[in-house]
Parts: sequence; C-alpha cells; structure tokens
Amino acid sequence: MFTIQALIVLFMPLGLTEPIRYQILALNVVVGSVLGRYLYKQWYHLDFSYDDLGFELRKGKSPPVTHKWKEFSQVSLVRDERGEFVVRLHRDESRVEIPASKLKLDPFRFRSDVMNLVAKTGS
Amino acid sequence: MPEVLGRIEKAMMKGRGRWVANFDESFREYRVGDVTFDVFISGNTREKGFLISRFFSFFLNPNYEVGFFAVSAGLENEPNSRRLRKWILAVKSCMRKAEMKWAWLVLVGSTISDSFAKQVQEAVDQAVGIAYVDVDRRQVVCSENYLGRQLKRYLRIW
Repeated sequence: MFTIQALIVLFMPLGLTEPIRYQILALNVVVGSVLGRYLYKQWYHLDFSYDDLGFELRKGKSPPVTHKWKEFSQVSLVRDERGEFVVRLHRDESRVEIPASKLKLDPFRFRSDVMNLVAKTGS
Repeated sequence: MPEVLGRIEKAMMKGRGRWVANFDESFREYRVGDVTFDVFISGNTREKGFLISRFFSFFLNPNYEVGFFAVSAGLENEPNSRRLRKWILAVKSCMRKAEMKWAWLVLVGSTISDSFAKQVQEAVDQAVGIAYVDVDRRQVVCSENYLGRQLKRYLRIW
C-alpha cells in the first residue's frame, strides 16, 4: 500500500499533491498505526499466565501452548544474541522456553519462582 | 553467600566474562554425581554478535565449549583438600560429558585458611581455573595457572 502511494505521489504533478501533503502525512500515520497494531496483535503479542500447576503462553493469534510444571525436570536461564533472557524448561528430549524479558519479568527472580514450582509439583 | 553467588551469576550472564567466552545458559542447584554446584553457566569462546564481530569471531576465536561453576563453601560445606579434589573431579567429569575445553571453579566462602589458600594457588590443572572468594575479607585467591589469573579480573563484585 505504501509502495502504491509512493508511486502515485512520485508520478503526480507537484501542483496536485502540494496542497494536500499534510493530509497525506496524516493518512499515513493513521494507516501505519492501525496496520502496525493489527500486525502486532496478530503475530507478536504475548499472553502469559501461570499458577501453581502449570502455565499458558500464547503468541499472537496462534493457539496457546499449555504445560504443567511437573512435565519438566530442570530449569535454566538463557541469554540470547540480543541480550534478552528466556527461562528454559527441560524435559527428556525437548525443551520449552518462556521469554521472560519480552514479558517484562525480572528473569532471575522469575527463574527462581519457576524452579520452586517445578520442585514443588515434581516431588 | 547466596547473595554473592547471585551477584557473580548475574555479572557472568550479563557479559562480564565476554572477553573470554560468551556465557549464555545458567543453571542453579546443578547436580554432577553427588556434588551439587550452586551455579553452573555454560558458554562458548566464539562470541556471537552482529556482522563484523561475528565475522572476526568466526575467523579468530577458537570454538571451545566452556563452563563456569560456583559453589558455596560455607559452614556445612567447609573447604578442605578432600572437598576441593571432589569439586574438581566433578568439574572434570562434567567437562568430559559436555566436551568442554576449559572450566572455571569459584568457591564462595568466609575467611580462608592459609593452607587452603595455598592449595587453591597451587592447583595444577591447566584446563580448570580456580578461585576462592573470601566474603569476609573481600578478597579473591586464584590458582596461578592462566585460567585462574583470568578469573581474578571477572570476580570484581564489590
């Protein structure tokens, strides 16, 4: 949409676009905000909830991932290339990650909470 | 002591040791046989980064797996030569399993005896750097091998 708009503006005589350039800017800001919010909600927004038994993590509009704490045997804290922390839950062959930094949680404190929950439900 | 261990872990995970290795995964209460380390952080000597640092790291740095172990040497875990040997053997066993080339072992405790300080300084294993963090005197005693001397720089936590 922005490419089409840019082409229209580029090939239109300056006299036609000059009087409405602020309206074009305002339209772009509105369209950008609405589209950005829609895409964020669709793909990136994280919903996380947990209790003593397990947790549920949902990214965008994809189906939620649900696990019980007792499925896991070990917990670690991982720093990725961008310096963000995730809490990694290990079970036999696989692992599940909770993006602590993206969820605005204190990763070190959250990791100890998760360790306590895993220890409590595992025993 | 738990507070000091937490501070050491945070410092390493936030990149304090990046001139030696990129420490990126940290475990608490990590069991190796019958030894439990309060902190174990695994890493690699190949620093990750963006374009240029990644490029230089790929061509200049060795690709070694490394490990950082820390244990509280408090009253119920009082350090002595037998226990030090046990900790080192546990570190070595973990190194073999994870194919690590280098490891660092940090003991966090209260006032260190002269004889134990001498044992730490004289540790001969070139693949394991050892340090004792004396919480009371706020001093660090390191083994005199290359890895031990490196450790001193990264344990400035006060």
